[in-house]
Amino acid sequence: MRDAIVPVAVDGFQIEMMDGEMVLLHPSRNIIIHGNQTSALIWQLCDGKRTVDEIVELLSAAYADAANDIRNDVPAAIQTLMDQGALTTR
Amino acid sequence: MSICSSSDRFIHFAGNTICVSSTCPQVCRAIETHFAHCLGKTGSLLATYKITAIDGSGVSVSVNSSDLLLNVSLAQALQFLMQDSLIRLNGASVTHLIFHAAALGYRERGVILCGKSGSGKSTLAAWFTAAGMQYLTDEVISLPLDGEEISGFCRSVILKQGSAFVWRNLAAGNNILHLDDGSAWVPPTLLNPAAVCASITPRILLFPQYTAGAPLRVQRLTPAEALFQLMQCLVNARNFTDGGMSAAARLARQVAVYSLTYSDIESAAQWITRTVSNP
Repeated sequence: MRDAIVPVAVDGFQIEMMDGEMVLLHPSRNIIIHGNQTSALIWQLCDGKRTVDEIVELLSAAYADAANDIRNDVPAAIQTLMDQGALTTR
Repeated sequence: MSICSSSDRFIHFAGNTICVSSTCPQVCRAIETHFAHCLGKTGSLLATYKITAIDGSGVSVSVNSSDLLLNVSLAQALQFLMQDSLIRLNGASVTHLIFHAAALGYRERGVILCGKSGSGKSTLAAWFTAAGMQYLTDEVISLPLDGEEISGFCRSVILKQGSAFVWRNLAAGNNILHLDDGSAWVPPTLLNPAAVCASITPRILLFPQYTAGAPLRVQRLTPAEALFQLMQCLVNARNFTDGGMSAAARLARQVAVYSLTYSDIESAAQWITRTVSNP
């Protein structure tokens, strides 16, 4: 993944948060995704304006103790959400 | 068993109805046996199935005046009716969420067994019905958009050949319908005369999975995991602007949810009985 890409949530998804976990549903595409709180946060930060790098920086600053993990995990989580059809690029 | 006095029978589920029209006594008797607890008329009439006896032992089936099946056996016609009518009734409902699930009742506590074909829900439903639980359905449940009680499509239990142990000792006369593939339609009241339950508040939601040779494995699911799995069993999501997610989420929050992998029905049944017995 090139970290300069700008991910954006695909239109039409419904999100339901339940005890910190998320379920995403795209009714017309019949896509259902289950994710943890981190996935939910990442998906919501993918607003079509921030690059992957900017999202990593944002989360690293907010969770300084986990900065190393965030640098690895956030791009991977974004890629997973793209593979699942919940994110695209702008 | 009553003899048909009219040529029309109405089968309803989740706010809609289909009509089955036949003057053939065998057809009428089969409808009254295997759809006994689904008979009635509510909401829109979606389709009319006309089943006509022809020379010999065959029947023909038309749907809304289109001849679809010619000279098939009664069992084939009934099988078509069961599948086609359920697709129509499930797909048309805009007032209820429809899930692929069996449902039972025990001391006013509803148990949902949610899963696709092959998960073992019909076998478990039949086993528990025979053991004294109430029966709502072995196939689909309906949840009103704004309600908490579930109802079931209370047809006969349809058991595959491998599940014959549940019913083979029943002195059922000819009320069990045997199909060419070895499966059988068993009226729930043959398994338990007091079985039938119209609606109930669910307390436990199970996702059973029959896996040959697997040890019993139970995992408690979070509400989000439950919702994720429930949505995969939702039949008519496209009928709702939010895909039915808010009502399904409400159900996922109101019940205790488990996934259950099993190969031995008795150990699975023991665990379920113990769990449902706990207040």
